[in-house]
Amino acid sequence: MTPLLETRGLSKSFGGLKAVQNVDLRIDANRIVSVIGPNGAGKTTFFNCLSGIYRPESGAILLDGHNITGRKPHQVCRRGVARTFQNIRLFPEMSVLENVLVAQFQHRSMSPLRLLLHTRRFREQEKTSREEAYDFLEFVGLEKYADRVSSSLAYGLQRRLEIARALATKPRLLLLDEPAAGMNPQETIEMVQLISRIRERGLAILLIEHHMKLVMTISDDILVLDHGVPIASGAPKEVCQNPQVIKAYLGEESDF
Amino acid sequence: MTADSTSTLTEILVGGISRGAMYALVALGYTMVYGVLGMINFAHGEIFMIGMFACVYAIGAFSVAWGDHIMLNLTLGIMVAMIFSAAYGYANERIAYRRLRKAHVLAPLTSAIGISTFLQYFIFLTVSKDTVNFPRYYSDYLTNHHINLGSAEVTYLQLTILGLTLVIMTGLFYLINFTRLGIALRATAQDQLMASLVGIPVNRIIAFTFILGSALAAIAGVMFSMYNNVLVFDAGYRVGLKAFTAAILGGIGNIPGAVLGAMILGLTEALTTLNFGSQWDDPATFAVLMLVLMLRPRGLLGERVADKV
Repeated sequence: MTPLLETRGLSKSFGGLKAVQNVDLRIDANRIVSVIGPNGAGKTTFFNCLSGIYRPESGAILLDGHNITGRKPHQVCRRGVARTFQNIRLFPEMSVLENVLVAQFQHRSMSPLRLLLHTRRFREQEKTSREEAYDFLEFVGLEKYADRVSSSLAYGLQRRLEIARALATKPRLLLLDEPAAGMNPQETIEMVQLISRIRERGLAILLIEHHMKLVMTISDDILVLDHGVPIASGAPKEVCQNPQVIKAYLGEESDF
Repeated sequence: MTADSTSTLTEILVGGISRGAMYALVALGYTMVYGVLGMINFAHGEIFMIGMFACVYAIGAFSVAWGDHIMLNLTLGIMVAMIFSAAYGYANERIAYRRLRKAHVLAPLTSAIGISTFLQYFIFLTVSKDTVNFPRYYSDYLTNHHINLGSAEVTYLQLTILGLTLVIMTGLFYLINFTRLGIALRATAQDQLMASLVGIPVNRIIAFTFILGSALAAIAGVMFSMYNNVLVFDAGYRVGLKAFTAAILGGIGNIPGAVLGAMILGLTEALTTLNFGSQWDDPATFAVLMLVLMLRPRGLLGERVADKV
């Protein structure tokens, strides 16, 4: 069976710094895979390659068997990859609802002529867009904030909004860059629940996270990067017993 | 005040608002491009001028082809002008700006000034070195007929300008605030990378911004050439400068601001002409600009720097 996402020998460097080297990864639909590693291990660079922000130097990215290496971000998004950022990146001057609506632009044909004539089809499309956007807000529990300006939301809620916006692009693969960063224990538990519910919708999730308990609880597989090089991968149990991993990353942490 | 002077004042005000409305249509192009790309498109005035010429030559061709049907030919002429200006605006973005989007801010600016000069002399050399008159038969129809507003006279042309501008502003407001295209446009203005990550084809949205702004400038160009009855290859420079000033006055990047700034300029010009003569138009315009910028450096409706941080 072709995996949903496959990378083959993916590499990217900046000047002399090899940020990501030879990463092979497979994710099947409905799985949660975590990428862990010390700071500067190349995790976010890896995400940037997957979402089309960086062009990898060598290697290939296959989505459902289609080569998407070197595609632009909006093309990658249309193929079904969405992401969130470690430092939340909303459209700050837009309302909560608009932040979700913006992600639906790609799904319906937009003819300026229909807009000008204000046809029935145009009005129906605008209406369904709004209804769908409310569904996504409800899914993450933000429906009652729909008309607030997004930058006025509390931090934890902004994270949820970013996830709702990513879901509204109707991805098959969701990349979450440290979704629990800066959250208190209660919020972290809620985030774990939200991620599980997203998986239930049939999405595959690729996760960068430093919160080890979270990673061990929800991941099906783990990939460990160190200085851009994959040093281990497999089920959580295997990975945390791997001596190389313990040496590179977990040496001083023994809390799991 | 006598009845006569009130009617003159009303006429002056209507004249000022009409001029303001034409400036507003041009100012919108400056402010939209700035809002999305953060650059000043100094060639926008030339897009306006190309609209003027396209309309006049189209009307000439139509009257040869099927005779002088005023309304039909004018409407078609405006459409031709919009298409021409939009095509030039699009080509301008594609050729002179797109590749420079990631360069230093001065690079596209310099490119814009170059395009502006190029287009002026392109029209000068290929179309007309002298002023061209708008076909009298058409403009006279609109300037000689009028309705009475109290004792003041408002010409059909002024009514057309005000009506068109009002419809366009309303449409634009609706487009930007309440449609998905408008949301995509605002998203592109706020964060281009993030916009593309949620599937918005950023290049197409930017091209659309140029096309829309250029089409509006073409409408203004046609109205302006009927209003003054003449066209000339450097008309875009002077009107462009005024419209750009209006956009700065209102707060560049802010759409209602551009309209407000344009109206203030139009009225300032009208009142200056009435009291001191038209040679004082420009000094008065820029005195207003300086005064406003001293008090509100970001323009009347521009955000304060503190809001952004």
